[in-house]
Amino acid sequence: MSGPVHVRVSEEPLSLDQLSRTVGSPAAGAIVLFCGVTREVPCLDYEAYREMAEEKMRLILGECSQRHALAAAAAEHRVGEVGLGEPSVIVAVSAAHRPEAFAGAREAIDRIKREAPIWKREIDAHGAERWAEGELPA
Amino acid sequence: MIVRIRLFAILREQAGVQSIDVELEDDATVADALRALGEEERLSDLLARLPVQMAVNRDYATPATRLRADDELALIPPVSGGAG
Repeated sequence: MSGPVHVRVSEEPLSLDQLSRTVGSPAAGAIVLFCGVTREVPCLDYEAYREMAEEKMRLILGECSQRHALAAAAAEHRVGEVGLGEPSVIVAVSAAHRPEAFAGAREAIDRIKREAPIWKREIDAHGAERWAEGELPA
Repeated sequence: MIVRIRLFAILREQAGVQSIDVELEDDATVADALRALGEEERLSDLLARLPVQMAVNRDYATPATRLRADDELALIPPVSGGAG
């Protein structure tokens, strides 16, 4: 079984409320939301290979959906400048009960960070820029 | 054949362009493309110290993956998406 999947990579600010609504279902008693936000620096500047990132995210959510029997799964990543405390990535999954929902959301965000072709540059208080160190995707 | 390889993040910034065209043998592989890119003046220093991965038609490829002229190719530096 594999429920509906929604992904988006865009410059628009992200809304957990909206994403939460996209995974609601009469079969789902649990919705888990994850929100990754800019910390410690005034701004992060994200760049994506958008077409591939969306394909990867769709694939990841489909696999998570199947493995954890999710009712629905959704993820959005922002590109461009994301200020302190603002979300750069959000994930929402629904399932009949919370164990599957937590496990599905955990796997989804871990894999999106590891596999989606997205990069961030840190911009410090003096405007100096530095590409964040990352991991080579598998 | 001539293939176009898209560049992102630190690679794009270093090269100063969004993509690079390289000429390869018709039966070339990902390993051949990486070798050709390593000889590009704008990228050679960076590629000598930065591990990279090639994406072929929006999927991560192995060095042995064979290329075609109309493939969508991209050079992927270590990824750092997300937060938290």
